[in-house]
Amino acid sequence: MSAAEPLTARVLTPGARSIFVGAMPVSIRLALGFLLLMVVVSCLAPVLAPYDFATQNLARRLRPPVFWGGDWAYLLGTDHLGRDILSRLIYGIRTSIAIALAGTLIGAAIGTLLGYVAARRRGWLDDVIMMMVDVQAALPAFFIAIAFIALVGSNLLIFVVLVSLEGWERYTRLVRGLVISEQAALYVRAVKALGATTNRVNLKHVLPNIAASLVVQMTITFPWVILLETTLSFLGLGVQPPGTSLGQMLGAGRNYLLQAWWIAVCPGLVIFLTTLSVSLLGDWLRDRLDPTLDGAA
Amino acid sequence: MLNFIVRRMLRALLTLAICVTAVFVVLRLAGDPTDILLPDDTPPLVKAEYRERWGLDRPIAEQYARFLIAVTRGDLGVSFADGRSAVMVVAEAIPNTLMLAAAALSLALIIGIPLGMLAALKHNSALDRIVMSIAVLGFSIPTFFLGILLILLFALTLRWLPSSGTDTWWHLVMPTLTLAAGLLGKIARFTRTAMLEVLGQSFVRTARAKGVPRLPVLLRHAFPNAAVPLLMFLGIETGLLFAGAAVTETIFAWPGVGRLLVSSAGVRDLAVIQTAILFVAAVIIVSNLAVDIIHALIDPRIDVLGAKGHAS
Repeated sequence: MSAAEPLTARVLTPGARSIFVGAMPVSIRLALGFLLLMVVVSCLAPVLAPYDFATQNLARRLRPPVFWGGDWAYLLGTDHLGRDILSRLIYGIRTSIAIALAGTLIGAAIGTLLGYVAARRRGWLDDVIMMMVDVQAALPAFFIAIAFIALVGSNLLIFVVLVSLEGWERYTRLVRGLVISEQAALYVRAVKALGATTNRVNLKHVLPNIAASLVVQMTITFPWVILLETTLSFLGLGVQPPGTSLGQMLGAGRNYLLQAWWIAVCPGLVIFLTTLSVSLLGDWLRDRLDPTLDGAA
Repeated sequence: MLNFIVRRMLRALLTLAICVTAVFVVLRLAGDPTDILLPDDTPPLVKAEYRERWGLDRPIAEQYARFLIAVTRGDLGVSFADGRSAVMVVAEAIPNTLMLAAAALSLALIIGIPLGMLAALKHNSALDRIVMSIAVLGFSIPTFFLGILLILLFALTLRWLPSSGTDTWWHLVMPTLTLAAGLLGKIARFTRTAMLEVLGQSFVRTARAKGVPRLPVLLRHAFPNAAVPLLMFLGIETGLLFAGAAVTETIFAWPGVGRLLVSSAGVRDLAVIQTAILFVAAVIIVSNLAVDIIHALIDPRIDVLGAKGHAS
C-alpha cells in the first residue's frame, strides 16, 4: 500500500510527492478536518441550526454560552437581539464560505483566461492586460471594493464580483509566464511536430501541466478572499442584515464587548481557524505539488 | 541606469493616470451626483441648475478633461459632510495614518527580521518550528479579530490600555500591535526563506572558511544579500499595510485616512472618498517606485531585467 502511493502521485503530477492523507502530519490533518467540518456545516446549515438565525427574542438577549454559565437551550448564547449565536454562526459560515468560494473561483477563472489570452496573443492585447495587472497590484481590491460600494451601491452579485478582484492578477501573471515558458518545452515541441494546433497543445497539454500551480495559487488567494469578505462585512459594507456573515456578526458584536464578548469572539475564532487551516494546508500542498520549489525551504 | 529610472517613473505616472481615470469612471457609473447629493424632493429646476454648475451637462470627454485638470490642481471637490475642501479633510488625517503605519512597520521589522534570521540559522530545529508557527499565526489572524481580542484583554479586562483615541502615546500601543502582527509574521517568514537561500551560497562558505566569525558573516555578508528581496517584498506589502490600517483605525477610533474612508463610504461623501482613494493609490505607487529605484541602485543586474520589460 505504502509503496503504491508515491507511484500514483507521480503519475498525476510529475516530480511531486504524495498528497494522500496518510502522508500528512497531524497539524495538516487537523486543518483538513476543520475545513471539511466547515464545508459540511455550510451544506447542512438548515438541518444543523437549532433555531432560525434571524428570529429575535428580546426576553432572552445577551445570554452567555453554556460554558460561561448559560443554559443548554442556547449553546453559544444569544446576541443583543436575543438571536441564537450558534444558528447565526452556522448560517454565517454558509454565507462566508459560499461567497469566498465563488469569489476565488471567479477570480481564478478570469485571471487564468486573461493570462492565457495575453500569452497567446502577445502584442497590444498583452500590454493592455499587463497594464491592468499593474494597476490592480497598485491598488488593493479592498480599496476598489470600498469605493465601488460607497459610490455605486452593492447587492450580493456585485459584492461577489468585487470580492473576486482579490488576487486575479496573480493568476494572470502566473498563467501568462507559464504558458510562454512551456512553449519551449520538449513535450510541446514534440506534440506540435506531430501536427497539433497551438490551441490543442495549450488546452490538452500545457494547461494540465500548470494545473498544480493554479491549485496552489488558489490555496493562497482563498484566505485573502475570506478576509476581504469578512473585513468588508465587518465594516458594514458587505453582507447586509437580515442576511448574516461571519464578518457582519463580528462587526455587530463589537459594540457589546463589555457585556457579551461571545457575540464577537465566536465568529472571529471561526474566521481565524479557517484562514489558518487554509494557510497550513496550502503551504503543505505547495511543498508537495510545486516541483519548482523543491528544496527551497 | 538613468534610462531605467526615467522609464520606471513614466510607468508609475501612467499607473497613477489610470487610477485617476478609474475613479472618474466609477464616479460616473455611480449615476447622477445630483441624485446622490441632493435630497430626494429637490425640484427638477434646482437639480438642473446644479447639473449646470457642476458641469454635468457637458459632453463626457469634456467632463473628463475638466476632472483631470482639477485633479492636477489639487481640487477634488468639497466634503458635503464637513463643508471644507476634501483635500484639507484628508490631509488632516494623513499624519495619523503615517504615524501608525511607521510604528507598525518599525515594530514588524525590528522583531520580524531577527526572528527570521534566527529561524534560518537554526534551520529545522525546534526553534525554527516555533518561530514559523508564530509567523503563520501572525498572518492568519484577521486584523479586526486581533484588535478586538486586544481590546477585550488589555482595555476591558486588565484595564491597562485605552481602547480608543489619540491623547497619549499609550493610545498608539494597541493599534500598532494590531497592524504589525500580520506584517511581522510575513517578514519573519520571508527573511527566513531569503536567508536560507543566501546561507547556502559559496561566498558565505568562503567567508567562514577564511576565518570570519559567525555573527559578522551573518550580518555583513549574508543579510545584505537577503535584504534586497526583502525590500522588494515590503514594496508589494505597502498596499496591504494601508488596507490593514483602515480596519485598525476604525476599530480603535484612530483618526487616520483609513477610518475617514470607511466613515465617508458609510455616508457616501463622494469628494472625500475619491480624495482618500487617490491618496492611497499615490502612496502605493510612489513607494513601489522608490523600492524599484533603490533596488536598481544597489543591484546593478536590474538594468538588464528592466530592459526586457516584464518577460515571464
